[in-house]
Amino acid sequence: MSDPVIRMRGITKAFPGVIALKNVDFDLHPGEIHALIGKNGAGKSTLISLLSGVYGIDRGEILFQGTSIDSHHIQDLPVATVYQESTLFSNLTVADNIFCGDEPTTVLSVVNDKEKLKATEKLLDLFQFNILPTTPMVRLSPAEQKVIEILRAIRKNCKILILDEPTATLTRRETEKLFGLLKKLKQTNVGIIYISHRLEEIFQIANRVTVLRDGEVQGCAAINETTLDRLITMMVGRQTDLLKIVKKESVENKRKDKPILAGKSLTHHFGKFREASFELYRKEILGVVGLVGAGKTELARALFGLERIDEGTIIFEGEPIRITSPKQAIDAGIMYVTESRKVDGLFLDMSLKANICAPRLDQISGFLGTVSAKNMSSLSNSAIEKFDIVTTGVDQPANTLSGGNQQKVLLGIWLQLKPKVLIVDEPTVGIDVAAKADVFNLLRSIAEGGTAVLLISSEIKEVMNNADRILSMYNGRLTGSFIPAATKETEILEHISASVMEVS
Amino acid sequence: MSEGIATDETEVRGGSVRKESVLIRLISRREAILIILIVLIVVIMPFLNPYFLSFGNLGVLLLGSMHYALMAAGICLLLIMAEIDLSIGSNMAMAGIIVALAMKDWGFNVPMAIGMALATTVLIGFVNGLLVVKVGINFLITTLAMLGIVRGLVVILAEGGVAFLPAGFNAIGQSKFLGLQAPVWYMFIVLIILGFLLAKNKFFRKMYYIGGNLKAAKLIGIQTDKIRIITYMISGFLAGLAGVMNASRFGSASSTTGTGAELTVISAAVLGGCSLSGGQGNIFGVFLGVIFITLLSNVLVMLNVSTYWHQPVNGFVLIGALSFDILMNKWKAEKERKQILAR
Repeated sequence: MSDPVIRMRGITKAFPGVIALKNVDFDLHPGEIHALIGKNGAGKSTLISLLSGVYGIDRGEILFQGTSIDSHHIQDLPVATVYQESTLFSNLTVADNIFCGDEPTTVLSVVNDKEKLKATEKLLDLFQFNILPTTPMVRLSPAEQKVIEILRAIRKNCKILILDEPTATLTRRETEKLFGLLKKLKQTNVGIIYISHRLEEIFQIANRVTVLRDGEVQGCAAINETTLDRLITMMVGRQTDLLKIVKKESVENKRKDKPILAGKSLTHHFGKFREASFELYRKEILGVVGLVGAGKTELARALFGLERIDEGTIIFEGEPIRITSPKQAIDAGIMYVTESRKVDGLFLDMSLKANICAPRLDQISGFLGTVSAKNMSSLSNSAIEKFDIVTTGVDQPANTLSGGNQQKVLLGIWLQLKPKVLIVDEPTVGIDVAAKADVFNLLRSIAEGGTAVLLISSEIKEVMNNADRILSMYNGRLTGSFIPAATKETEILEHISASVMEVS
Repeated sequence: MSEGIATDETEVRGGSVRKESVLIRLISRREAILIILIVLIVVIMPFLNPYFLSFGNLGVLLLGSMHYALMAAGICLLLIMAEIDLSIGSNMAMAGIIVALAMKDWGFNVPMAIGMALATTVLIGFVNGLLVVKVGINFLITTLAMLGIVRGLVVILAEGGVAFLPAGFNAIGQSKFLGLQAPVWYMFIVLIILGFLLAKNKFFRKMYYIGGNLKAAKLIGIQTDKIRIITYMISGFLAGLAGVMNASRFGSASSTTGTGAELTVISAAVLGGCSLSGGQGNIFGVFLGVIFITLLSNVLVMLNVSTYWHQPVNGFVLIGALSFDILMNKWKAEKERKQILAR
C-alpha cells in the first residue's frame, strides 16, 4: 500500500477536567476508507476536530504526506469534513450550497454565475444526480442533501474526507447510493475517514477500522480480519446481548386481552399513511419499521394528536376516541417520545432536574404554587437511579449529557405521567451501542410494568431483537405483520423496501 | 416520499416538473406585488387629486424617502443575517449634529466635517457589532441601548440642534440635477452599488449564508464575526450618510431628526421581502418597500387625511402584507396536498 496521506502519532488532547485523547495513533492511506468507531464520548469527534484544526493538539504530531505539520498550518490541510448535523443553507440553491461563498469570480469579487452553474452541473453529473443547480435546497430529501454536502467537500479537491455519521438520516436505498459515490471517490485517491454507529455498514464499505474507547485506541484492523462481535467488545469493553435475538414466548399470551389501542383504516390528512389498521396490546412492544418517509412518524404523531387523520377510527380501551391535540392524548394516557430529542424533546439549556420534573410541577408544588427544590431533587435522583443516567448531578444542564443519557432523561420525563400507551420514535438515533442496550432494557421494563409500547424505528435489527411483534410499513401502507422469533430479517426488509411493492 | 434521487418533487434538468401558474408565481414575488400596488396608486390617485402626478410631488416624494431608503439598505443587509440595528435613527441625528458642529464650532472644512460625521457613525456601528458579535449581547438590546445613548449624546452636544449651516455645505443637498435634488441621485447611486454587490459580490453573498445557518457558515469557514461586524459598520455608515444629506438639504441639523425612523425603516424592509428570521431579502425589494410606505403617506396627505392616521395605516399595511404571505403559503400547501392525494 502507498504511504499514508495523513498520520497522527501519539496524539494527546485534554479539555478542562477530562483527557479526551490519550496517545492516539491513526493513519489514513489515499484511496482507502478507514472507519473510526467508538461509543459517544470515546474521542472520535475530538480526533476529527484536531484534523480539521478546530482545536490544537497538546502532545504528539500530525504528518501530512510524510512531513510534520505544525499546529498553525493544520487548517490549511486539504481536509474536508461532512458533519453529522447538516451544515446546509436551506434558504439558498444547490449551487450556492456547493460553493458556499467560495465562488469563481471576475473583477471586484463579482461571482461568475455561469462558471458556478457549470461547475455545479459537472459535480452533479459525477454522481448522476439529475437535478438543476438552481433547485432550492428545501426541495431535496435528506439523502440528497447529504450528497450535496459531500459534493461540496469534493469540490475543494480534498485529499482527506471526514464523514461523521453520514447515513444517520438515510434510508437503506439512499445509503447504497451514497456508498456508490464513496467507491467512486476512492478511485480518485481520496482518503476517507468514516464514522458510524451502524456497524454493519462498516463491513460493507470500509477497508480498515480503528476502535476508540475512553480516548484510547483499542485496536486497528483490516476489515476482513475482524468480526462484528470483536468490534463491539472493543467498543464497550463488555459483552452485550444487543445483537442476539431474545426469544419471546409470551407473545401470544399478551394478545389474549382486548387491545388497548387500535386503529381502523386510518388515513392521514396529507395521505402520508393510508388505511392503516393495527392493534396494540398491554405489556407488549410493537415495532413499526419502515424507511425514512414511509409514514411511521406521521402515524405516531397522529395517534398523539399532532397530525390530522381524515378517515378511520382510533379505538382506545374499547371505545372510539378522537384525538386532535396532544393534551387529549396525554389525558387519555397516550404519550409520544419524539425522534428529535434536541428539537422538541428536552429543555436543553435547563438542568436535568428541571427536565425530569417538567410534567409534574403541579404535583410537587406546595402552598401558593411554590416548587420545592428538595422535592425536585428527590424526584430527579430517583429517576437517575431508576434509569441509570450517568450525570454529575441533578443540576447538570441537559445539553451536556451524552446522547444516550439524554434519551433516558426524555423517557424519564414521559414516564412521570404514567402512560398507558408509550409511543417511542427512533429512540436510538445517534447513541452508542451500550446506551442502546440500556434504552431497550428500559423499554422492556416499562412494557412489563403494564404499558403498551409502540416502537417506531428504521433499524430492523434493533426492532427484531427487542419487539414482541413487528409491523412493516412502506409508502404510507402497513404491509405486513411479523413475530421476530419466526421471521428472517430479509423478509421484513423486503416488506419495507420497494421491491415487494413493485412486484405486487 | 423522500427516497431516491430526483423524485417528482425536485426539479429535473430539462424542465421543472412542478409547474405553477404565472399568476401564482407573480404574486409570490414580493417585488411584483409592490410594483402592482405602486402602479395602482399612481394610476388611481390623479383622479382623486390631480396634483399627485406632478413632477414636483414625485420629486418631493423621492426626496422624502431618501433617508429612509439609505437606512433601509443597511437594515436589509442586517436582516439578511437575522439581525437588526435599532440605533439608526439616533445615528442619523448624530451625523447631522457632528457635521454641523464640526463646520460651525470646530472650524473644519466641509469634506473634513462630513468625514468626521461618517467616521462617528461607522464607529457607533463598530461598537454595536463588537457588543453583539464579540461580547455576545442580544442585538435588539444592544442597539436599543445604543439608540438611547446616541440620542442622549446628540442632545448633550447640541441641545435643540444647529441651524444656518454654510452655503457650501447646503449646496450638496439643495442643488438639482435633471430636475431631481442631488440627495435623490446619491441615494440611487448608493442603492444601485449596494444592490449589485449584494446580488453578485462574494463578500456580500456570504450574508445569505450567515442568515441561513450561522453555525454551518462558521463550520465551512466563512468569517462570520468579521462580516457581521462590518455590516453593523455599513449600517452606521448609511445612517450617517442619511443624516449628512438631511442636514445639507435642510441647511440645519435638528437633534430630534430620525426619531422613530427605525420603525418605518424596518417595516419597509420587511414589506420589501426581508424576513426577521434571516436569509432573505434584496435591495430592490427593500427600495420598493420604502417607496410604497412613503407613497402611502403621500396619498394620505393628498386625500387630506389627518397625519395621525399615518402610523396606524402603516401598521395595518405591514400586518396585512405578512398575513397575505402566510395565507398564500397555506393555500399552496393545501394545493400540494390535493395533488399528492390525487396521485
